[in-house]
Amino acid sequence: MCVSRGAKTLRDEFEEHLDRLGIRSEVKLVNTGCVGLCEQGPFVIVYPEGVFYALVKNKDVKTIVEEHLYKGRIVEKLVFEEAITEDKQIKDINETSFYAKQKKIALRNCGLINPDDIEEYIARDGYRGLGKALLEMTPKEVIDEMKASGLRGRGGGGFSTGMKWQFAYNNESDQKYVICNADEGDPGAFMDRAILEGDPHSVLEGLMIAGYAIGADKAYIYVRIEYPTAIVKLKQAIVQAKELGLLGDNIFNSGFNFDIELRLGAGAFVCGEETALIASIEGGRGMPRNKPPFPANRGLWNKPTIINNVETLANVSAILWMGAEEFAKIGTEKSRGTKVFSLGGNIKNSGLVEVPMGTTMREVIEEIGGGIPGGRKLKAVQTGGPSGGAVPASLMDMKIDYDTLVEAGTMMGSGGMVVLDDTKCVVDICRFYLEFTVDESCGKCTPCREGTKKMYELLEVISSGHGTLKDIDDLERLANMVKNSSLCGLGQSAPNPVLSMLEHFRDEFEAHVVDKTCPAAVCKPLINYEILDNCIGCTKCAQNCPVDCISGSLKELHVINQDDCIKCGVCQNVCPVDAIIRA
Amino acid sequence: MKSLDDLKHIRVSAHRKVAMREHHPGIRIHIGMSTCSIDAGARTVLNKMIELIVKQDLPNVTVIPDGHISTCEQEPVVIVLDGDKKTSYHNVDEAAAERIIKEHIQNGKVVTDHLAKKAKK
Repeated sequence: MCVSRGAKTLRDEFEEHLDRLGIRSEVKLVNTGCVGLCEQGPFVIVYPEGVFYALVKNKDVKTIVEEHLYKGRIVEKLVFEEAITEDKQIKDINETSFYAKQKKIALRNCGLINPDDIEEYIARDGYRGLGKALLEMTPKEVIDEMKASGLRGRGGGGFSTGMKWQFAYNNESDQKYVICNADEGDPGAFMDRAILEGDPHSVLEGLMIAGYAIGADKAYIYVRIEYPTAIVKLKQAIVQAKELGLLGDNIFNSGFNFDIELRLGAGAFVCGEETALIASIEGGRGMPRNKPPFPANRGLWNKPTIINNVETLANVSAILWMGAEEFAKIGTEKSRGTKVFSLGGNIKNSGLVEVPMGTTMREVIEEIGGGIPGGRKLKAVQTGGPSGGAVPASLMDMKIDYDTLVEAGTMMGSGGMVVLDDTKCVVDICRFYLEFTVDESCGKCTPCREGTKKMYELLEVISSGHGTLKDIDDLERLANMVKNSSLCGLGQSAPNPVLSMLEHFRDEFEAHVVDKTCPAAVCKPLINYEILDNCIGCTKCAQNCPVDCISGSLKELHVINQDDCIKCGVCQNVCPVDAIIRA
Repeated sequence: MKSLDDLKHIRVSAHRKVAMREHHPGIRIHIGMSTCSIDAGARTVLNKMIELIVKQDLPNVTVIPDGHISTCEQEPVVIVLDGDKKTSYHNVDEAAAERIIKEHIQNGKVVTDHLAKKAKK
């Protein structure tokens, strides 16, 4: 349901035209979840032929119904361009360059089932893993299976899921809890949202398996309030699971009881940090605590608690059914399985991709992502959102996993990948991320509260043209200090973009302060708009300039008065012959 | 949900809901659905075949509506693809459709009455 591109009205269109032609009863319409290729949505997939229509608009529906559904003639011009061959044969979508190297485990059901129907989840082997765990395995065996799979936390921490469960299992307590961290806060990350909206039961099943393993009978899903559809889907899924006795008392007659409740966030990025999240559920302000004690020992209301990310839990339910051995065959030695990445920025195929760990960055960017549009060159790939750093173009052949990314000076994070081409300025990118972390810092510890603010101010100075080399040195020292002394992950990782960009692109920082230029022509105080001599004197720029700083008569070369220019860029946009450049 | 059997029951009966949605091996039955096919009665043939497949619960059989397969006098046209073997039937009516399903698909015996005039490949 690519709602932001108008998918909701497509369904009504289908109903109308199918009714009109009298074939409504012959065609089943199914609303489904995310298929990953955002750039080409909305999608309509017709089975059993497996025809993949892309970029479908309301007016296209009439054609699809009349030609394809009524007459059996595939509408070639609407088929996703990579899913149809030169001689108009339908290509299996799994053979297109976007999907060929992907392997769906966490996203196994997204786009293939109706998330509003629990029976469809069950039809695709849903809840079999839970059945196996409850009826054929002991809690300890479940934990061993999780350890054998090698699954590591997909929220960014990358900690061994099996080991975390073991710690909680080891603690004796009258009450234990499982929490699902659905507070996906990284800007641009929506892997968890796709799973919550497209396959909520995979998360519920994962929670129950975790609960059985550690000895908990209660779970909370902490979901950010900015995900209203996910909240609706989860609530519905919980109701449906309860109706079928898959949630509640004595599941599968095994004696195991479990209940799941939702808790909603209120817009704080820091609440994605586990101790701040716990504080929020307890009714307090979302502020982190010292660790140790770790939540597995003393967590929610001081009881042993494990917190797992949405994608991790979607993997848990898959692993219990497919088996740890099968899962461990995928990926690298220390990073088993797959990872869902959200591909964005300057890339042709933006969207969600799930690939085995160990896939190279080049495969993701060039083959799956389709490369950089506009003939521009790759500068770097920023991974892990505001907590991560950049992988420069020189490291494109690295195999992606938790450890290789850390070695390269960045981290996996929740899986965001922002592709930067040569029109992006590294100083500006750092400034953008610091602006975010400054806003989201909870304020409890001085290094983060004061340090990130000061880092942001330094970045502003550097990009203004008034900076000095000393400012860059100060920025670096400050970044290291904030990283080493902040109380929680937010502060500890906020400096990562800066440290990474300084390591790989220091010369670009220095150009801002030494030459007073922005090589990528982004930082407003350092750029000038110039009119080249292919100007035709149409006066459009002068007419549209909001501060009237362009002079020139009809049919003569126009000139921008640099003293008055506010660098808004309107002139460049309206010029019909592309005679205005940024330098 | 009292047992794994309860879960299995739902899984099996709900299987039809999701079965079509992936790449399927097995026998593919193409039915021409151009304008003249429909005029000649292809829709009835299509519906009959689907009805029988569901009723007999035949696994690994998919019905695919197609475009123009042959010349108009030969409509409705049904082509059965089984691995390398391709069998073309012409002038298929409801009764012939039933025979194709029962004799060819289920028992592997080609229905000679309705074979295409050109020999099967």
